[in-house]
Amino acid sequence: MIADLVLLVYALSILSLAGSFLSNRISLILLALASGVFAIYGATNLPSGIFSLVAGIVWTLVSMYSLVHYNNKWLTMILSGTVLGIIAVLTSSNYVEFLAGWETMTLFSFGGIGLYKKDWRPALTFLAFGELSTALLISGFALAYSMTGSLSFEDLSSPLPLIITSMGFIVKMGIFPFLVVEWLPIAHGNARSDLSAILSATMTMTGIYGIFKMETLSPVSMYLGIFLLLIGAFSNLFGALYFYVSDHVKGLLAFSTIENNGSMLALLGSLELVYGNLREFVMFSLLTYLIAHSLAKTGLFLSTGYIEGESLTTAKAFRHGLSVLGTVLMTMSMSGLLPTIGGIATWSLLESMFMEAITLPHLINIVPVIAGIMIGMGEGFATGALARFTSYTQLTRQKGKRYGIILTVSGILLLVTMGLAYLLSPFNTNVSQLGVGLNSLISSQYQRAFGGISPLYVLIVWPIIALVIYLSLGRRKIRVVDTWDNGSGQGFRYTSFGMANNLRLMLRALLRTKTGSLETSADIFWQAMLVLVRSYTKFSRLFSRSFMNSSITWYMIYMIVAIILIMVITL
Amino acid sequence: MINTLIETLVQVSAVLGLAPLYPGILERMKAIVEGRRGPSIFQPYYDLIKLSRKEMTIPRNAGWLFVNGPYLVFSVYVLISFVIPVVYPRPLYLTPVVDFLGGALLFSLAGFLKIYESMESSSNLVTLGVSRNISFAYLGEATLLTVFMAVALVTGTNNPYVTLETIQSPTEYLFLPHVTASVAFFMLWLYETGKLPLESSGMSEMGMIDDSLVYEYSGKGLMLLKWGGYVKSYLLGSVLLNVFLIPWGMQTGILGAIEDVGIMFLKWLILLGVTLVIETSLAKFRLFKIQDFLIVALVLSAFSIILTVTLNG
Amino acid sequence: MVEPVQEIILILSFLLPVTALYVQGQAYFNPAIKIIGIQSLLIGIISFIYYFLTENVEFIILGGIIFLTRAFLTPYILLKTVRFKEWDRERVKVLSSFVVNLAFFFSATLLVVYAVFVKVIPTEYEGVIMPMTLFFQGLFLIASRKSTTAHILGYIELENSLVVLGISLIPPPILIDATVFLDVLALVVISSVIIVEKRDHEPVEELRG
Repeated sequence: MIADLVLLVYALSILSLAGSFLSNRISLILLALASGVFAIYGATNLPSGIFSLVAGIVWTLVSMYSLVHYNNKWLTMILSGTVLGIIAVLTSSNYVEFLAGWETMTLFSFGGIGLYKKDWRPALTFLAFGELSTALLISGFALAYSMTGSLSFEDLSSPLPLIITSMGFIVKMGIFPFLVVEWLPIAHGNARSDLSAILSATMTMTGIYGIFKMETLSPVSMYLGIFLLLIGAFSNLFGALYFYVSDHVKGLLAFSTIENNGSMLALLGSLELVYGNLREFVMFSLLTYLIAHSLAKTGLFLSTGYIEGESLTTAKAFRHGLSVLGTVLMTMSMSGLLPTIGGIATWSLLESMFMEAITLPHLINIVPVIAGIMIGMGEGFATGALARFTSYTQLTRQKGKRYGIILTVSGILLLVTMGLAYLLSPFNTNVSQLGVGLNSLISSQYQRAFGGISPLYVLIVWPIIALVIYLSLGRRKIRVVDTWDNGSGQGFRYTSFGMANNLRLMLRALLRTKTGSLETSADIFWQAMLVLVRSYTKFSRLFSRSFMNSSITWYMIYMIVAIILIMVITL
Repeated sequence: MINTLIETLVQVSAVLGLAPLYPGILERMKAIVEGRRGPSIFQPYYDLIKLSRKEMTIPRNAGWLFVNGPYLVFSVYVLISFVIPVVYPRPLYLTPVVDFLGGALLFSLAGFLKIYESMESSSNLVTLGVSRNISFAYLGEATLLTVFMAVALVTGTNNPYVTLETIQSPTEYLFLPHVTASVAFFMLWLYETGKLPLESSGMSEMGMIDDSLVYEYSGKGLMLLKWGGYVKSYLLGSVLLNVFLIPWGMQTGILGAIEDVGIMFLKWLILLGVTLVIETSLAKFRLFKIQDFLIVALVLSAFSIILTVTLNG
Repeated sequence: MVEPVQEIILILSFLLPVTALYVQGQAYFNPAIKIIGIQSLLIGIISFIYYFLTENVEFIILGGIIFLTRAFLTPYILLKTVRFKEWDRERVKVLSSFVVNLAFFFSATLLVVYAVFVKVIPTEYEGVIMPMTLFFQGLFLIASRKSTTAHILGYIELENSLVVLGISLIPPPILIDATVFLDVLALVVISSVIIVEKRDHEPVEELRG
C-alpha cells in the first residue's frame, strides 16, 4: 500500500516534469496531485513521515499559487524538477538514491535561480555551495559504505560518517560557518516567489532530514551534540540579527530561514545528548518546529509575490483584510506565539533547553543554558523583524486591494496543524483537571513532570473572552480621521529602513555600521573572512618571496626538514 | 468544585478591578513627595469611564485589526489572570492551560498584537515607538526567558505554583541565584511597565516607547488598551511579589481568597514604595542606555542560572 | 549552603563584583572612590558575620580595622588630598567598555567557577568564587584604564579580594590585621601623592628617555 503510494507520487511528479513541455497548467495540476498524494503518504507513517507530510502540504500550496499567478513553462519545469529531487531524497532507502535526489534538487534549483532574472552570479553561488555539500555527503557516505559494505541505510559503528555528512547538510542549510557568505539569502532572494518558498521551506528541510536520518543510524556522539547545539543557537541569534537589519524583501526571509534552521539544528544536537522521556520530547519539539517553520515560511514567501519591488523601503504593497489575517497568523507562528503551531514549537524548544539544563551532567549543562539565552535573544530579534516585514507588506501604505486567498489558507493552516502537534505529543494526560479536559494538555517531562500547555484551550478560551468583552462594552461609534504626523505631510514616511536603524546604531560594533547620510551595515563574518583571505594571501606571498624564491639552498633545507618530519612521524 | 469556582472569580475580578488602583496610588504618592496635592487615587478609574463614553476615531488606513485589536489584547491579559498566582496561591480553573513559560508567551502575544494593530494606523509617531519597542525586544525577551529558566532550575519544574511553595523556605529564598533572578526580574518589570529610569510612558517624543503604541487610539479602544496596560503591570508585579520577592502570607480557602486580596494590597504598597523611591530619585536614561540596563538584567539572570548549576552540583 | 547565614554571606559577597562592575563603568572619579569605600564596607560586614558564625574575636578586630581604614579612611584621604571636582572624569568610552566589561565579567566567572574550582576544590569553592571574580575585575580595571586614580582603585580592589579570600578560607591571625592596616595607610599616602603628581598614564610615556 505504502509502496504503491510512493510509486504513484513518483509517476505523478515525473509526468508533471514531462507535462511542463506541453502545458504549464497540466504540469502544475499534476504537481499539486503528486504533492497531495505525498502528503497522504507522509500521514500514513507518522511520526517520521512528518517530513513528507509537511513537504506535500507546502508543494500543494505552492503549485496552487503558481497555477493562479504564473505562466512560464521553464520555471514550472524547474519547480517540478526540484520537487522530484526532494521526493527522491525523502523516500530514498539507500545512499545512491539519496545523492541522486540531492543532485537533481540542486541542479534544477540552480537553473531556476539563474533563469528568473537572467543573472547567473547568485545561481553560481548557490551551485558552488550545493556542490560543496554534495562533496561532503559523498565522502561521508563513502565512509559509511566502507564500514558496512552496503549502500542501503544500515546501522553504523562509528559516528564519523554522521559528523562528515552533518557538515554537508549544514552547508545546505546556511548555518554558521557558511552564514558568512550570505549565500542562502542571495540565492533564495533571487528566485521567483514560488521557488523561493520551495527552497527555503523544503530544501533546507532535507538538510534537517539528512542529519536526522544519519543520527538514527549512528551511535551517539556527545561532542557532535554539543557542537550542533551551540552552532545551532549561534546561527539562530545571528540569522535573526541579520534578519532584523536586512531590507531585501526575500533576502530577509531567507535570513529567517537560517534562524529557524538554527533552532532545529540545536534540537538535533540535543537528540544526541539526552535519552528517555526527554529524548521523546526533544523529538516532538523538532517535528513541531519543522511543521511550523515550513508552513509559515511558504506562506510568507508567497506573500512576497504580491509585492512590487525588492526593497521593503521602496516596495509597493497591496492589502486586503483577509490577507492581513493570514499574514498576521503566519508571523504570529514565526514569532513563536500561542495558539499557533509556532507557539507550541517555540515553547517546546525552550522547554527542552530548560530540561536539558536540569538533567545533563555537570559541566555540559551550561551548554543548553547558553544556547537557551542565545535562542531567546534570537526570538526577540525575529519578532521585531517580522513585525517590520508585516507592517510594510500588509499593514501600512496600501496601494490598492489585492487578495491572495493562499495567504489566508496558509495562515489558517497554522492553527489547524495544531492538531498534528497533539498527534505527535508523547505525553498526553487523559485526566481532566480544573476545567481543562478534552485530553488537550501537551506536557513536558524529563524524569518527572515539568510543565504543560493546552493550545486548544487558548484557541477556544481567548476568542470567547474577547467576544464577552466585545458584547459587554456595547456598541461603539467610529469616525474616520487623518493621522497627525507632526505636520510632516504625506511626503515623509517612517520607512522600513529607518525602523531598523536603532539597532544598526546600538549594535554598531557588531554590525560595523558606518554613520553618515545613510547608515549602512556590513556582515561581520564576511569581513572576517575577507581579512582572513587577505592575510593569507599576504602571508603566502611573503612566504613565497622569501623562501620559495628559486634559491636552491632553501629548497634543500625544505627537503631535509620534510624528510626529518616524515621520519619522525613514521617512527 | 464550587470553592474553586469562587476562588477563580475572586482572583480574576480582583485583577481586573484593582489593577487601575495601584497606578493611582503611585501617582498620589509621587505628588505628595513632590509637594503637590495630586489627583485622587481613583483617577485612573475616572479616566477609563470617561474614555468608554467617547467615540472612536480611527485613522484612514486602519482595518479590522486596528479596530478590534484592543479587545484581543485585553482578553489575553484576562486569560493570563487565570493562570498565574497573582492573588490566590493554589491552582484555579483554567490554570493548567499554560505553564510559566507559556504565560511568558502569552505576554509576548499581547505585545505582538499591540504592535501589529498600532502599525495599521500608518502614523509616523506610532512607527517611531514601535521601532524603539522592537529594538529592545531581543534583550527583553531573552531576560524574561532566562529568569524563568533560572526559576525552573531552582525548583526543577516550570509550574509557578510549585515555585511559590518552594521559595517560601528561607534557605531557598536567600539562595543567591534566587536573589539575582529577583533583581533581574525587578529590572525587567521596571522596563516592561515603563517606569523611571527608563520612562517609556508619557507622550514626550524623546522617550516615548509604550505610549506611542496607543497614540492613535481613542474611545473604547484606548480604554481597553490603558486598562490592559494596568492589568499587565499588575500581573507582572504580582508575579514579582509572589514568586520572587515576598512569597509568604498567602491564605487558602474561600475566605482566604478574599483575605488574599487585602494581603496583595499590602504587598503592593511595599512594591509601590520601592518604585516611588526609584522614580523620584533617578533621572531618565538616554534611549540607547536602555540597552545597557537590559544587558545588566540579562547578565544577572544568566549569572543566576550559572550559579544554580554550580552550587547545586 | 544549608545555613541561611552562609547564604547571606554569599549574597553580600556577590555585591563585591557588582560594585566592581560599577567602578568599571564609571568614568567620574568621585562616585567611583565612594563605591570602593562601600565595597570595603561590605567586606567589613562579612567579617562581622563570620564572627557570629565562628565566635572568633579576631573577626571583630579585622572588621573594625576594615571599617576604619578601608571603608572610611581610604576614600576620605583620597577625596580630601586630591580634591576632585564633581565633573572630573576620565576620557573613556564608557558605553563600549561597559559591554566589554560585562562580557569579561561573565567569562571570568565562568572560567573561575568551572575550570578551576569545580575541579580543584570541589567542596569549598562557594566562598572563593566572588573574591576571585573581584580579583580579575581589579586586574581588568588596571589594564583597561589609563588614569592613575583608576589604577589605584584597581589595586584596592585586588587587595580587597585578597582580604575576602583570607576571611573565607582561614581564621585570620593577628598578622593579617596588621598588614591590612599598614597596607592601606601606606597605599593611600603614596597613591594620593602619585595622583596629585600625575593624573594620566599613556602607554608609551614610561618608555621615553
